[in-house]
Amino acid sequence: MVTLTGAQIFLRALEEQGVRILFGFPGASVLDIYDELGKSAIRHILVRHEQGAVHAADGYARASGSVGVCLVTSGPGATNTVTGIASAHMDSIPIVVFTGQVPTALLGNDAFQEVDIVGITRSCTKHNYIVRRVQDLARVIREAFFLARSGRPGPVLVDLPKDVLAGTGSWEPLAGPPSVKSYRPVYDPNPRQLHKVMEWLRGCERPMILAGGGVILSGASEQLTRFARRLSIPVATTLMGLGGFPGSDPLSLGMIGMHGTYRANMSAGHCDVLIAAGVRFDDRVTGRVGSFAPRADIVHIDIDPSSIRKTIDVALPVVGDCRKTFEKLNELAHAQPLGPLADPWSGWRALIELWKEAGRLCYEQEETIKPQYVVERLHALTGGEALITTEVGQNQMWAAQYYLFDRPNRFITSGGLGCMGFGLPAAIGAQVAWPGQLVVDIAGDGSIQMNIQELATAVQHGLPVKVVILNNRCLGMVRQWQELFYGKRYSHTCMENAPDFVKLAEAYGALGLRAVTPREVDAVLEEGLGSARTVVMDFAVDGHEKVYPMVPAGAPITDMLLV
Amino acid sequence: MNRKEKKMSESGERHTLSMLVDQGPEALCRIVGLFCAKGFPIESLCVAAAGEPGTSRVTLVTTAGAGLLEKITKQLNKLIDVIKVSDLSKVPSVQCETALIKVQARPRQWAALMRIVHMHRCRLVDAGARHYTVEATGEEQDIETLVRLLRPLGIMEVARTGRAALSRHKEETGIVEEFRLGRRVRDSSMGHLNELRIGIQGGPRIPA
Repeated sequence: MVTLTGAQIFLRALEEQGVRILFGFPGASVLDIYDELGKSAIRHILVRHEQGAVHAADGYARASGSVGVCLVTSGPGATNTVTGIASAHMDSIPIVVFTGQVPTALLGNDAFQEVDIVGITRSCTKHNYIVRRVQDLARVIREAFFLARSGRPGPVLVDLPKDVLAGTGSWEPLAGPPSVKSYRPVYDPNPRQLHKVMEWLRGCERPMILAGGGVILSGASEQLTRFARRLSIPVATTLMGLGGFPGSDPLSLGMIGMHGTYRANMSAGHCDVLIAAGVRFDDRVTGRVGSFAPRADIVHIDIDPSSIRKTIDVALPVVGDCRKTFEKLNELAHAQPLGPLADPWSGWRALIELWKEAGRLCYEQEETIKPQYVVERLHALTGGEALITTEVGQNQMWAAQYYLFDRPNRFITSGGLGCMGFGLPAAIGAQVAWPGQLVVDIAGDGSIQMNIQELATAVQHGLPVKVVILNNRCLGMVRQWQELFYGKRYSHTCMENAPDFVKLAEAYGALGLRAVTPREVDAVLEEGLGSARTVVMDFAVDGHEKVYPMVPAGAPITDMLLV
Repeated sequence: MNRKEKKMSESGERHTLSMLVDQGPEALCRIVGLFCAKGFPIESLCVAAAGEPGTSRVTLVTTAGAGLLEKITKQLNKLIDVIKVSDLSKVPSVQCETALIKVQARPRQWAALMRIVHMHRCRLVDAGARHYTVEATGEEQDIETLVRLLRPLGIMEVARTGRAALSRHKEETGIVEEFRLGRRVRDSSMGHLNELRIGIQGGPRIPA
């Protein structure tokens, strides 16, 4: 046992949790930590806005599979993290956010830079704490990491009053795994339920698997892929599940939902058993709830019981970890083959093949650059191996549709919250996690301006992230809705007076490139991707291009606009 | 609240949810915040320290159909500082509520007031130049009846605790017969019921 200051305990506790990277922005309340930071092995990435710190921690967590950590000061520093926390909460991403706070004696006094951040974030964190005594600090940090990474992961916020960081307390190394009395996530699925799954598969004619973000988070994709291939069951993924099953596999149906593929949505409409793993049946996935998978008995595998029967009434709930569940299902499938027929569902797959032919993703490359073409070329030139982050809107959907993800943790997007300004900081986080990897932010000219200041972060820390701007000079997805559902009244969706992104990149010390004609696309991509610097590539794309297929909000997902 | 949930809550039944939670305002804040954010109905809420040190007992009455109730209990279980949730509507339990009712002190109403107090086995706990305060413990409907009877006398203020409830131990179920407002526990040798009587003056209800 040694006596340390709160700031020293903080850093020791982080090191104990295996933290190597801290995304942060200093301020008065957390100066004690910043003063000690130089003595620690933890690398600090100085962002330009606290929202960037949280998104970067989020991107780091998704790319690396470990907990992302950020540190900000009190008041505005804390409130600037809220959007990022809410995004991580919606997508169940394990991050721990440390916020500074005024000294405990001033709490509640409306002191300078005081804000009740625990109160503000109570409904968008998995759990949050304020540490009022230095002797609680180490325990709270251990609990915070434990809660963030276990069960259904999520963001945890820890509020640190200045006197707690400046005060002294005793430090004792971790004795055993932390335990929280009321928190016991169930990892192992009930075997009886799994036998039922196999029984249902044995009796069904049109099975389908729907893989969501839980498959990625639990590391289930290998087991899931083995299971689907062994039994030849087609697999669709949600936006969050992209890469959970190889996108180029013949069994892949692609993405389901509002901008899902024709075959994925039609399959959901006609399947008779739907195994949904690690999904939460978001409204963008289900369309009209009452018409979702109307012919199917739904099996819902999820580690969070509150996710089951939240929106969709499922016939067979399986509470458990996706990876463990598919491990067990593989054992069962191995032990008892399905039946006398070698391939009982070949007719079903032939039907899906027809849907595939009928509703291929398509666009026509004309004189102006089509945004889909840029993403397709990016896929081709990177061999599908790049780590992709996105902003939100059309850029996000085209990235999801045209960059076929064969591996998990390669597609990083703000799915649930749909948070513009996510992609660039998330790319920074992903690049920090994988310094040798090619990390590309697929952006729009609207979204990129929401956190463009993080270009300075990337350049300062020598992070060679590549930003691909699909520049249509408008807020494309909102414009698309106005065109289709609001009588082409384009209210405030034209981004006039946009900056010259090439000059802007140069001003930040990054490399700026531009393509205006389709012929220039490959050259710009090749030069940009080949550079060792932070690069912004500005593609002047067709401003009228829309994301298809599209299911109007509230319609069944089989009612699709195809062109 | 979406339409589906609203419908469920309207057609639902009353449920008494009993929760053991970490002591302090945090847990309460999370529970109430959850009900606010998700649009779950709260009819009454009763919170105080529980027997186990560091914990509080929350008794919450809500109206919900089966689907909504499942959502509510799952969401409550998900809260980190909620240790245990049980639906006491599904198991034998003792349930009661205490009310303090302040009525105007008019000499000509004294007899009427005392008649009501006597008939309903409640108590006068405070008296002043301008008021009397009546304390009653029982089921919500009994309290409501009492309030209705006292209204013509001039009610000044009412404070109700909301329903408090505990499950009955299995082995003791059936020993005590049902008793209503004011009736005494027949077999008072049972420890847990004695404790209850110490805590709450008057008679708790034990459903058959």
